[in-house]
Amino acid sequence: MQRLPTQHIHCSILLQNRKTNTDNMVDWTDAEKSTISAVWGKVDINEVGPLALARVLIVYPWTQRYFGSFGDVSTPAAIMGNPKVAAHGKVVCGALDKAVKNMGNILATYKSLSETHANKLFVDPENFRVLADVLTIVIAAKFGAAFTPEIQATWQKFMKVVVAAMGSRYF
Amino acid sequence: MSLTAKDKKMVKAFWAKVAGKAEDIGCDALSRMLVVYPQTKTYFSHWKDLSPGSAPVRKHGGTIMGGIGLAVASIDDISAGLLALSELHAFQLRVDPANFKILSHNILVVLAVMFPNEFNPEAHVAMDKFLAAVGRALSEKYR
Repeated sequence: MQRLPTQHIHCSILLQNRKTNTDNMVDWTDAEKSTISAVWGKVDINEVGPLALARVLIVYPWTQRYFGSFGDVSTPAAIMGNPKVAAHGKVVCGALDKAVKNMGNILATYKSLSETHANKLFVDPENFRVLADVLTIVIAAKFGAAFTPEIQATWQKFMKVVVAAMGSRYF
Repeated sequence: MSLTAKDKKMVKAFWAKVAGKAEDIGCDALSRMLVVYPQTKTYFSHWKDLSPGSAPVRKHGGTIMGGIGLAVASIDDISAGLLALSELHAFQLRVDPANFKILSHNILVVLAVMFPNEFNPEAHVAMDKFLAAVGRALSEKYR
């Protein structure tokens, strides 16, 4: 049987992707998709966003470098009560919604956000990993034992893809 | 990133609150590590059952938390306190030190799950720093 040259195989895969509009960064199982949606569905962005960002600024104080215009971030209490931190926490968490709604397409979904963070905001992509870990901990505190090891695994897989997509436009 | 007097005070106070559940904490943290980071299972190929909450997982979780308790008691000189454990990990177990961070993360997740009110941001930063110091102390004898 004649073997197809690799180029032709590659092109046909790209054509398939174009048809289904996925970047195939990862192929989510139905169980994973429903777990991620279920977790996210129980998260109140207005509550969790501010908590997560405040916790990042407290636990990793060097991250305050990006928030010079936010006013008083001198103590944990000041950070927790800072309205600009809270507002920005909602923005950041809100952006995760796009990933949940476009799970097959996360790379494309975050292309321009990644470019903005790289070229305009000059944010070290290590911070995406840091925020993902802290967000996981905040969600764990909220869910308690309902945040089982299996749910944690799926959630962290999702975070890993989001973090990779956010780092994808750094050259 | 060394522990300040404030950090040590916070760690000791927080540990006093949670130490009663040390075995549960260790069991849950280890269970999560094995599920969420499956590459860590490679260190336990000699166990019959690696599932969450299994007997070997529970027993070993307790052992690990014993080491954490020792580190709390040795908080003014963790390297000295964990010398024997560092030699064990360096020469016998030869666990890649990257795994200390992974286990630390899972301990923090369990603290959040089990103690959502006590594990506030101030406790979180102190415990994160402490667990990082423990990881460093365990790595000391590696090379």
